[in-house]
Parts: sequence; structure tokens; C-alpha cells
Amino acid sequence: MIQLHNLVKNYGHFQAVKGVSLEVQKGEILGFLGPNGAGKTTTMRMLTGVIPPTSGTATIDGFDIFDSPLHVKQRIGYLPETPPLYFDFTVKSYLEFVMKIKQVPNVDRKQNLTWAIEKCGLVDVQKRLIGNLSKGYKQRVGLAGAIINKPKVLILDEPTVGLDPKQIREIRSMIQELSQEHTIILSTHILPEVAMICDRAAIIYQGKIVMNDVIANITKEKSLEEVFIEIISKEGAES
Amino acid sequence: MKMVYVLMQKELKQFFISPIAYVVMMIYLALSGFFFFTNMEAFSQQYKYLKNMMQYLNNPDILARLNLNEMVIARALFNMVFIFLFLLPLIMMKSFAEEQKQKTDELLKTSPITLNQIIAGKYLGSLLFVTILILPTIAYQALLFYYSSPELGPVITGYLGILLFASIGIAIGLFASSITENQIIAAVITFVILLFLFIINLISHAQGSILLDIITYISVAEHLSNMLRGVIDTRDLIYFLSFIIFFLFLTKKTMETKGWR
Ligand SMILES: Nc1ncnc2c1ncn2[C@@H]1O[C@H](COP(=O)(O)OP(=O)(O)OP(=O)(O)O)[C@@H](O)[C@H]1O
Ligand SMILES: [Mg+2]
Repeated sequence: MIQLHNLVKNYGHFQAVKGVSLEVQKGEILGFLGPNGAGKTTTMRMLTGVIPPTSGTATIDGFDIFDSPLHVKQRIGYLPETPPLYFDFTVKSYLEFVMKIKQVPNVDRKQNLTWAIEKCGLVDVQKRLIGNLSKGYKQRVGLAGAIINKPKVLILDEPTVGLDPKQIREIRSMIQELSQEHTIILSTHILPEVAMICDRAAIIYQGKIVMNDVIANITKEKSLEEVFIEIISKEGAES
Repeated sequence: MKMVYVLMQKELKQFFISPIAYVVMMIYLALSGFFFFTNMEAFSQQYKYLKNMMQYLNNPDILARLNLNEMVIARALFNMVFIFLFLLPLIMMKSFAEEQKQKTDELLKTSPITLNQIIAGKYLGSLLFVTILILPTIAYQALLFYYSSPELGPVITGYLGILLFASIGIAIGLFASSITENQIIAAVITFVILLFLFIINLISHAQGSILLDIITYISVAEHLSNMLRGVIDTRDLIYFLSFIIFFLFLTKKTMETKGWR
């Protein structure tokens, strides 16, 4: 469903992403891990068309991100690191705008809106101005915007950051529920979260994928956290 | 087309949500009203003066030299353009700059819409706002038509001229706000470019030759003055259109280098 071929991103002389190749099957949830500055956000931005890769390419549902950007964008929902919110809109009018530009058919709009608002726990704040919401609620609105067109592919950059424990649980179960029909990549620093909901984990370090396997294999002998720390310190010593 | 409409609607809505829009509208109405009535006042002073002269000299031709269109309307319309020189940078400074600062560009970039649609939506939304801004000033003109009988033609071409000037300003504003996420810098760039187009003809009198022709051509005031006097020349229209297209093109190129498609 999602394929990344040798994606590279240079910022001047600095290479943030050094040839990332990945594959995610339909219905799979991939946990995208790595320390701060490893290149997670940069990779996701290239995949979603926010920034152009220096080289390499990617396909989503068979469509190349260069050749058919519109086809790709019709199929993705993206929650960036900073939720892309218009602070002077109300929650509801923001989500309505998102549905329009994501070309959700008229007949589905009401249903999708109610669904996303309920799923993200926004019922009580839907008439409030986004700018006045707390950080966690802003994150929820961003998440609602990402899922509202029920995209085939969901790309979530630290979706549970800033949420309260109850909401984290709800979002996790929502993500699992969505994975029945959707393919999901999510980045996070909460390793137990990955062990709980992901099928597969990929670890990126200094712009390179240093591990990519199904969770069951990774956690056979050690916990995910031990594996993570081990890889990071080993790789760090080598370079 | 539908997407352009959606984006235009969003743009217009953002103007009207913000209290600044109403401040801008108040300022615009107050200033244009002020200029209108001072021109009016000057006209009536002259009128009274010449009327006395006429009786004194017994020469009825003198009054005919007073032209309401030129002395009041054309000047008031020119003043309205002048106000835009200062207001357009403020109106346009948010545009793409704010979008980049708030990271909402990531929403637009990952939605199934094209860069052309986004630019067109922003452009048309801003143009609509500016149109709404100048609409109430028609009341001032109506007042003149009620008490006197000026020519209608120059009023219409004059308003067209104002809108065309605003269109250039909007295109420049889009360009300026695409190169920076800092609103103040965007406003300053827009103002400087507009001011340049506005005053370049002032230096032209000192020069000669081809340079003079070029300067005269670039100067927005030269092209506007025709329209404010009621003359529509295709060369003027081409001037305005080419500047609009030029800055929209620059906007697109800037956005493309930032990864927009
Ligand atoms: N616009 C930019 N210009 C220059 N360098 C950049 C830019 N964006 C990112 N980088 C660099 O690229 C590297 C990868 O950044 P990225 O944001 O992808 O990391 P990340 O894995 O998402 O980290 P985090 O866990 O902190 O979110 C970092 O070293 C960062 O400084
Ligand atoms: Mg990140």
C-alpha cells in the first residue's frame, strides 16, 4: 500500500534522510521510531508531499507521489507535527473546510463530521474557536482533520502527544479500529504504545533505517525499549 | 473551479472574522470620505469665487471652466488609490505568510488541490474583499449625482482603475507573503514595490530618451490618470494585466521552490 524507495533529503550540506526504503502492507500499522532529529518528520513530509525529496520516490496505493500527486492526496490523511489549524475558525467550521478541500462528497459530509467529532472527543467544543482551545484539544482537532475524509492511508506524526491518558487510550483504540480498512504509519516516542497497537516497527537513526521488523519478532527476547536503546547506542558508537 | 470557490470563500471568511477587517473598512471609509469632502469644499470655494468674478467681469465662460468630474471626482478617486497604497500592504500581509507560520500550509499541501487553485482562491478572495471595501464609497458619488450632473463615464472607468490598481497590489502582496512567514516583512515589501510603481514617474522629468519611455511605462500613476479622466486605453489594460500576471507568476515560482505543487 505504501512504498518508499530510497528517499533522500538534503538541507544544504546536511543530509537529514539518507535513503529510506520502507514498505507497509494494506491494513498494517507501522510504528515509526527514532530519537529526536532522526528524520521521522522529514520522511513523513516527503511522503505526503509537504516537501520534495532530494532524490528517491514513493508510491501510495500504486500512485507515484511525483507523477500523480492529486491521486495520492485523495488517499491520505496527514497529521503533521504541528496540527495545521486556523485559529480563528470554530472546530466545526474548520472541519467542514477540511472536508471541502479533501473533496468528501456532499452526501457523506454530515456523517463524517459527526463521526470524527465523536471519535476525537470534540462534541463539547465543536462550536468554540480553535485558538482558545487547550493544547490537547488542538491536537484532537488536528487528528479529526486527518481522519475526516476516511483516507486509505493515514500518516500520523506523534498523534498522542499532549493528550490526557483517557484520550490517549481512546485514540489508540480508534487507530486500531481504523487499521481494519486503513493503512497507517505513526511516529511516536511512546514505545509501549507501539508494542500495543502496531504490527510492525521501523527504527530510523541519523537518517537511516536501522531496523524494520514485525513487533512479534522484535520483542521475542527483549522489550521494545531495550531493543531501541541497544540499537541507538550501538549505531552511535559505530559512527 | 469548485475548489477555487471553496478557497476563495475561506479567504474572504478569514478577512471578515478578523476585527482588523472592520478597522480597515472604517479607516478606508473615513479617509475616502474626508478626501471626498475636502475636494468638494475646494470646488465650492472656487465656484463661489468664480461666480463673483463672472458677475464682476460679466463673462459667462469662466464658470464653464470648472469641471466637477475633474476637480472633485477624479481627485477623490485618485485619493482612494493613494489610501490603498498604504492599506493594501496591511490587507495582504497575512495571506501566505500566516499560512506558513501557522503550518496550515501543510494542510493545503497535502489536500488534493493544485497550487494554481490555491493562488487563484487567495487572489479572488482578496479582490472580493477589496471590492466590498470600496463599494460604500459609491454613496459619496451618488451624493454628487443627486445635487449636480457630472459625467458618469469617468466615474465608472475611475472605479475600474482603482480595482485594477488594487489587483496589482494584491498580486504583489501575494508574492511578498509567499517569500516570508513574517507579516511585517511581507507588508514592507508590498509597500516598497507599490510605492516604487507609484512614484517612479516623478523622476522621469529629469531624464530623457528611452529610459523616459520605460519609466513612463512602468509608472502606475501614468496609466491610472487616463482611467481617472474617463479614458480606457487597451495599452493601460495590458499594463495592469501584465503586472498582475507577472507577480502571480513570481508567487507561483516562489511557492514551487518551497515544494508546493
Ligand atoms: N528545514 C530544515 N532545514 C534544515 N534542517 C532541517 C530542516 N528540517 C529538519 N531539519 C533537520 O533534519 C533532521 C531531522 O529532523 P526531523 O524533524 O525529521 O526529526 P524527527 O525524527 O522528526 O525528530 P523529533 O523526534 O524531534 O520530532 C534534524 O537534524 C533537523 O535539524
Ligand atoms: Mg518529528
